[in-house]
Amino acid sequence: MTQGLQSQYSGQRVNTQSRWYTLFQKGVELGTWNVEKLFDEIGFEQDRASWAALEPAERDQIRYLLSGFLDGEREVAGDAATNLQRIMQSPCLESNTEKEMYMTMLTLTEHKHTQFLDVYMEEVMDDADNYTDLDPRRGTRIPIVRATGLGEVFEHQGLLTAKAASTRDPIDIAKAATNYHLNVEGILARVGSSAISRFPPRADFPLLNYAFKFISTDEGRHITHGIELLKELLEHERAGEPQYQGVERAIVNTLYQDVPYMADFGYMFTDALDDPLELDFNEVLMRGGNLIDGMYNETLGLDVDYMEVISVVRDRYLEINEWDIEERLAEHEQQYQQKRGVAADGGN
Amino acid sequence: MTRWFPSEEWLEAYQGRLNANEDYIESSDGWGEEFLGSFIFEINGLPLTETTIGELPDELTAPFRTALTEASEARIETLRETAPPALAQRLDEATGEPPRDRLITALFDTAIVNAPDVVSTELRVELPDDLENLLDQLDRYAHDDTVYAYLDLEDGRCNEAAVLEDPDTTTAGFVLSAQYQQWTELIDGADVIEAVMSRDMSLDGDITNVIIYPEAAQEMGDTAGRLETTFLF
Repeated sequence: MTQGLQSQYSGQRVNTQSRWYTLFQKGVELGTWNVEKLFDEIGFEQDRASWAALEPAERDQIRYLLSGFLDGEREVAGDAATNLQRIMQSPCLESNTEKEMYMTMLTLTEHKHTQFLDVYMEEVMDDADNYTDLDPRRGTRIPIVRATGLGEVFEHQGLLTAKAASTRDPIDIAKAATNYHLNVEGILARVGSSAISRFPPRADFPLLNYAFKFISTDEGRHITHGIELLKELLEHERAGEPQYQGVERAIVNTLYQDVPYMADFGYMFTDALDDPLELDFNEVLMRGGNLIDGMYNETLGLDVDYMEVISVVRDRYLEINEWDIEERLAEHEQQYQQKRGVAADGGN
Repeated sequence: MTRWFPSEEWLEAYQGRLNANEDYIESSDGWGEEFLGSFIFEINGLPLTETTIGELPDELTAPFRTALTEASEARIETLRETAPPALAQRLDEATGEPPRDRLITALFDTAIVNAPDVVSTELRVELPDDLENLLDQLDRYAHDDTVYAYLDLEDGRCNEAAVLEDPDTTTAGFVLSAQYQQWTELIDGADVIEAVMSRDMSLDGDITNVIIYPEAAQEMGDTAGRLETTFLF
């Protein structure tokens, strides 16, 4: 994983030769980009000018895409700070100390991603209500995230990581790590980042693009952590250790559970609003499929049943095609407004 | 005739198998009715430059070698005298052997891509039908190292199957592309959906339509896998 980057030093309580120590060091070195400095250095001007020049439907497309990121980053930051940190202490895992160290870096970077997106949307995309003020971890998602099924993936993440933090069981940890590191970070975030990189020239957002280069690099380390964690669990299972039996099935089943709602994310920022920026739902789906194969089959050596994957995505796609997405969105926006009222008056 | 892949005959047999395959018919019910359901199979990287006539399967070349070995001295002389310039040059280069052996060596060491330049009208008489047919097809259908096959698929039927002489003039809903080796693996039973997911094959077209008909896509691959096939390369 990190050949050539291993520490020249040795400690007593910390294993400096652990791959998680190396990941921690890489996080210290690379993950400390400063969001506010980025704002100062690049500024919002060009991004605001490009935003103002776009058609309303094009703005909505970007607004939806970043809404998915903002709710997702808030969720992963919250779960990293709480549940993942506790999972790293599990006796069924190796290198607990170094994993805990790495988790501080992961948590820091996820909070920075939330920080960037939250401020960016407020500063640049202020021409309409972004519905980003309420906290998704208190039950209020951005309406477009709720109107499609993307929120289901995040709900699943909260449940799986909370359970794994509680039981510290290898099967539960495998499910949580699959959802969090492979499905959310490894597929959703990478597919979304890829869409941002394919914005047409008229959607010129230098600050957004610059930040996403940092965000993608951070996510790359998180995905590596997830892959290595799952490999560790699979090695124990393949060695025949009773406690770990069922890890592989748990990983693959978590994919089958999440993948239809992951496809919703692609739909949400493309075909749900007729794709004026031509981000191409087909491209999104194919990219997602390639990432699934790369992580699950090639890297982890699993045998994903693609007919199962496509069948559940097909069923979901046929379902959402029957929706009146604008009607659903209006319904969730109304609910959001109601919650704002509740939040404003303290719940009275 | 042996079903050589790639060839018109293989594609025709594939069309027949698809239309006789109840599972395919059922799983592709409605396919292409509200969208363009036709496919182009793009077979890239055919080793036409790297492969000589002599390296084609024995089943194809042995009768040709036998015909030349058993031909009279006079016939060999006629073939040498009527040799096209490209073959004449190769004959000049193949020194130190008896005339018959020089002719055989010159012909069998010719790359497939250059076959049309060395096969004279006289020599065609000696070519076995299969070999002549396949060399003709490669000459007509190979665009550099690529062959394009077209399938008109609609509502459980394959209405037309053709190898394309001029692919630029044909429009299809989907283009499935891969290296020749990958196509042979597909025909040997590899999973087409897995091949696309892993980027061993490339699919261009409206993926959302394919998602709705995954069993049809699978059955197309399986049908190819069940067809008795002999690979040309």
